[in-house]
Amino acid sequence: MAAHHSPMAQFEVHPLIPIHVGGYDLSFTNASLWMVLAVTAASAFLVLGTRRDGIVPGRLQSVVEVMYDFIERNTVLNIMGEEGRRFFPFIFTIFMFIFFSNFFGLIPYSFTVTSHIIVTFAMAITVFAIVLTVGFWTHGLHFFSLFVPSGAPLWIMPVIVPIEVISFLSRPISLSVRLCANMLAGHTMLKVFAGFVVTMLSAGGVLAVFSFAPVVAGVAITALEVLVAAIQAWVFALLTCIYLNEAIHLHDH
Amino acid sequence: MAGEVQNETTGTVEPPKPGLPQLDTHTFAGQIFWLMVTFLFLFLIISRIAAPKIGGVLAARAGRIKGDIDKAAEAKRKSEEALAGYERALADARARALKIGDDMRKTSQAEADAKSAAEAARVATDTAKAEARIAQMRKSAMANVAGMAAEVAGEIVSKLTGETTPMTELSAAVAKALKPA
Repeated sequence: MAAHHSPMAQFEVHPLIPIHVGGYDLSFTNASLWMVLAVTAASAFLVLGTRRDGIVPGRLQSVVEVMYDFIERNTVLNIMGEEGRRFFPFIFTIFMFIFFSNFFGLIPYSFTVTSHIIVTFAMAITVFAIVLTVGFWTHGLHFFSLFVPSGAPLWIMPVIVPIEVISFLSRPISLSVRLCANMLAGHTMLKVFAGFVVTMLSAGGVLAVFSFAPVVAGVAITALEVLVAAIQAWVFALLTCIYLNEAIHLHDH
Repeated sequence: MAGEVQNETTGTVEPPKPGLPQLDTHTFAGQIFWLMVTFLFLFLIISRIAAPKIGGVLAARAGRIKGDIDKAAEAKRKSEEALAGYERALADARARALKIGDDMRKTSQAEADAKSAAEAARVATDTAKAEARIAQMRKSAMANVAGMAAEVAGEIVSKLTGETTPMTELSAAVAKALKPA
């Protein structure tokens, strides 16, 4: 029983509808369910929010517009300039997907899609592939000059170019681990503190009296996790913009 | 948390898997597949429906606000123009009023001057006439006086001497006496 109460149990993937295609297990799992829920909620939010497309926005429309404007003007256009506009739907999709996944993950008994490294890594590697495509499409082989910092003396190149290459190649890893680790750590911590309450209450005596302490901590951490959920969604979108901007403009920013 | 509850409610107790569930590579294919499906769905919703719509609404609002600001600026410009026109009209009217007052004063002055000149001329002629009449009257009076004096002188002479003196002599004597020395 104790094993099932492991703080890691919340991250387990269970098949709900088994689907096997060509040797691959593509079962509809609890992870898939929460992906579908997040995407459905995001779509409903965006479509219903602008249903009346009023010049004077209603409450829901205001929220939709604030998020749209925040990603479009303050993030995409702010970093990439006017050339970045064509990437906006992709960046906004990334943001909304992560945002809703993160927030749905905070609902008790839910599943946090973005706490799985394979999910965040798949998104990060997609971003990486798009950055490479855009880079070579725009600049051809000149794109490699990204690894040669302008103004640095020639003799330092043997050191600096490998560093630049490694830092470039590690981007998808840092991008995916940042999001996944944030979600994993936060939710594990919540679970651990919640577990303390049960443990202390069942222990009785002085410990039971002080069992309110982890509840308070749990509330505080939940508040922090709300913040982290929003910030990490934005950080992912922001870094995607920064990487894309480098691919478009190389060093001339 | 989900797994735990499921275990308790459905009773399908699964043996706990060792290690992080995240590192269970058996789930990778399924997770990537469903991520692709859901992510693409959201991307299509956003790129085809949501983004154009929200962008359109924002652009329409920006256009409306800009139009309203332009309209307000236009109205302000017009009102300023009207104010300038009004002030100009006011200044014109004031200048005209001043001019009319000035003209009136000048004409009335001229009229008054002409009238007083005419009056003075009339007074002068009347005076001259009166003086002439006075002179005439004095002359005739003087003539009478001379006649009377001559008669009185003749009578005095006749009474004193008993002689009659001719009138002409008397008149000459009177005239001689009346003449200022």
